[in-house]
Amino acid sequence: MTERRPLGFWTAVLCGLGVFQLAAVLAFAATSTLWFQAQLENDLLWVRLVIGWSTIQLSLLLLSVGILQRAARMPRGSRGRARVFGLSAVSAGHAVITTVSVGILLWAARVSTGHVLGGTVASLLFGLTHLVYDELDLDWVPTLYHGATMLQTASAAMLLSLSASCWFLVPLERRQRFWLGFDVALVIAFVVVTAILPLSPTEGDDASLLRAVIRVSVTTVFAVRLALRLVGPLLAAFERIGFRTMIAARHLRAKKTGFLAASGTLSVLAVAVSSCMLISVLSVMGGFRADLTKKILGNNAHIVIDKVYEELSDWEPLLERTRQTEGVIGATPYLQVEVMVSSLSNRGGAILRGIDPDTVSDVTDLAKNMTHGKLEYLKDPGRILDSSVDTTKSGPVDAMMEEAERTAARGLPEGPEEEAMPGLIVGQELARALRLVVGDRVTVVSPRGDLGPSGPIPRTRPFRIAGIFYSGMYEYDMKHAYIDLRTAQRFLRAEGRISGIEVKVDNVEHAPAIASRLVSKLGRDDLRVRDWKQMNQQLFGALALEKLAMFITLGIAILIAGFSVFGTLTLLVQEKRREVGILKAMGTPARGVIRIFIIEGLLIGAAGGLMGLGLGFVLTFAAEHFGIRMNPEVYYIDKLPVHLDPTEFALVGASTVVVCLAATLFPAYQASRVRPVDALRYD
Amino acid sequence: MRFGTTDRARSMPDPLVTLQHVTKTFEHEGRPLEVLKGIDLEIERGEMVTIVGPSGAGKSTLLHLIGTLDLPTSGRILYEGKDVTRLGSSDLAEFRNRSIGFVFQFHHLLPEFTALENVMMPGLIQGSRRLEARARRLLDEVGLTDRLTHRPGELSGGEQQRVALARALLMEPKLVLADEPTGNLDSQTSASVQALFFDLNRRHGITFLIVTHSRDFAAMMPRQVSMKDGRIDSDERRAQPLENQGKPT
Repeated sequence: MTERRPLGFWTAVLCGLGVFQLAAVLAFAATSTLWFQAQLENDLLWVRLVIGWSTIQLSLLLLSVGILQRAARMPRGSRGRARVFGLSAVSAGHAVITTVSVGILLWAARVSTGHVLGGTVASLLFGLTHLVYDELDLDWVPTLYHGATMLQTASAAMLLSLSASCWFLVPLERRQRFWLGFDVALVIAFVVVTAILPLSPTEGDDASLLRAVIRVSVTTVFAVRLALRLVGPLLAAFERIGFRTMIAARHLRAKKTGFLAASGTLSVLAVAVSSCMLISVLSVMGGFRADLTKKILGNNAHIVIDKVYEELSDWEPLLERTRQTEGVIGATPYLQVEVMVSSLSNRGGAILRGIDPDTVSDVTDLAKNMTHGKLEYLKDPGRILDSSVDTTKSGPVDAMMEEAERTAARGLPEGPEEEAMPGLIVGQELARALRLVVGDRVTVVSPRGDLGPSGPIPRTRPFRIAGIFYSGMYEYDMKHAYIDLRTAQRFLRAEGRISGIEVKVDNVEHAPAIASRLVSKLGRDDLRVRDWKQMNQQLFGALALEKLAMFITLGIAILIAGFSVFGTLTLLVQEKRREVGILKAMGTPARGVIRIFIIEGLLIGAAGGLMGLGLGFVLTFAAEHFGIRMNPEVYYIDKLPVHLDPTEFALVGASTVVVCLAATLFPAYQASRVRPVDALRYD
Repeated sequence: MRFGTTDRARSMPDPLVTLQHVTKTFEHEGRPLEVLKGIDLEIERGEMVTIVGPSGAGKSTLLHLIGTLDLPTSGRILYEGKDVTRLGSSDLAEFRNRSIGFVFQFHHLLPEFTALENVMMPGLIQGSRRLEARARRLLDEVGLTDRLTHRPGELSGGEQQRVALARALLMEPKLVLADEPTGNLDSQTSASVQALFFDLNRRHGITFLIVTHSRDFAAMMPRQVSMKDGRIDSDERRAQPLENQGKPT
């Protein structure tokens, strides 16, 4: 028996599910190891996952079988019969494959944790596959799973195209009903996730990360649907502004010929993708800059006062006056020289800084950056050995510091005079290179030696490692070592003298102004006062140049998107030639016609630009909050730094609009040149 | 614009339109093609003039020149004594918008807009939205009260032509130019559209210049200009122009 009823709501639902499958499969494949790990720790998560996933797939299966029957009842040779058959068959197959492959993954996870038969009804249902594979070696599982994933991806891709082609077989009114249902569900989901889920995950908690990801995804889909729903009313409001906007908006809303519609969609997408790319890259580069600035400002003073060729004596009054300057919140003296540090196993060059442990924390983050040992040990070296087992937080260096190595490295005999040995703080990389832990003995060789019979003899002195710091900047962690200022002055034969004064200010952006205030306040021509921007000029200059280069390179991508806007508008002008002729015959001046088409191009550009910026915002927001992990061994950064800058968003938006504006000019001019007589003569 | 009996009292006012030695030459495959070979014509206010003649006689070209859609190769076109061939393009557009209404054979309505919006279009071009009441009244007058929100695609040929006529009248033009307005309508619809022309001329004193192939329609017109081979062959007036019956609009 055949029936001629049009396809209904459920076919629309199946199409919707079909479109969603590919995204689901890819997302699942990308995060499968995460699931695997998560379920090792959390039994309940696994059960929830299985129940949720199986419900979706089972309903897909049921729906597919239903539609398959429906397709069988369609009259032979009727339009789209084969497509509906294909859609339902493929989605049924897909549901089965997905269920089985997820079953394999979960079963493998269960097996590897020794829970082969343990579990709930759901685990029995989806762990069924274990009966088949129980005899096999576990090595087969990954291969099998990857095979299944590939199969899944292929079927999901087929499903995507079939869904897209079947979608338009469903009558418009039923499709609208589908969207209404979808939107209502979406609004409810949005309200629920906004109410109960966190926006940013707590550090190191996978479950909260997942919840935050779900919230952001739902919010994004909600925003997209909302924007799509608003397009119609917005264009209608736009029409009411004036004659030219009315014509432009109406042209864009009108049904177009296939090629023009495709070209219009493509140009919106091209603008969107290119502006999204640009803003994402700029945000990451801004993130690197912000990260670098933070590290530089944390490890360095904001302003340094020193002399070019000699050390400062009689510096206490200077320090006092510096502290009293407006905007200065901390100042500390330092004495600096390059030395050689040698341990039992190795040696390396370092910049040795004598610091005042009492005031250094007013200026730099050294105390905060300590991963082993304590800053106070510099003053009181006797306490180092009392607490040579670390009490402070553990850092990345821990892996290196295995117990065996520690005992091997601490080879020197410890006589009673060692108690008086002064403390030395080194960076993590130097500690790693020299194989040092807190409490180890090192020898520091200074170039400022005594004069011996055959020339200067370097001065050496033993120190004990009082602490290890991690600043996050390789250069500092590899090259810097700190000792007490008084010890340094004695060791370097510089009693009463310092290299300079480090200053911290309340607002880093005001550092140059405060520096010039200091110059006038101190009133000494022989002093050199430099702020952090001056000191790191080359670094920031290189970063700025790199960013500019990126902006230009990716700006070219926007330019190419502009070409597609150009093409679309040229086509549009061709298609609207007759109407332009009518408008001109009725007395529209040429510049009016130009404006109409410029507005149309700008609307296309604005739609694309807003889409791109929105997408870029979601991407960078997600990267900023959820973090993209990076290998710290390679990049010396553990997370991809991202910094969202509203000015950059505005800049990218503005350049998108400018490019689109430029792209509209020529087609608009062409439209204005249409002669009504030519346009109206032939029909 | 007022059409009134006072015009006659004045000493020989300028005619509404005056054409002086107008020629038009097109370039066709590198050779000049003379379509109009010197036209002299005067059209008075409130006249109903028809131009007839075989295909290729230059009727449409002449209509386009009078409508300032195209410029003559030589000669002058005067509206009330003013030479419009010397106006700049935006002045010309403004002049066209305010003074001339067009009705084309293929009506040429904008497909994306409703009947009402199409009629309002000349006013919208001026940025004026206050003409909606007038547009409604005009549509009412051409008998389309219940078709206001229909798009051209949803209207019949006769209805479309009447919308086009209402549009041509919106700005109260001095002159309405019609290029075969009944060319693709059946005889009954043609008759009703033609009746509408005469009615509007009688009631509002609007000047019509109509190009037509229809013998019946041409025979009804008070003045008939027949063209042949780019020249005016004959210019016959069958009755007095109807200007005296015009009343202020």
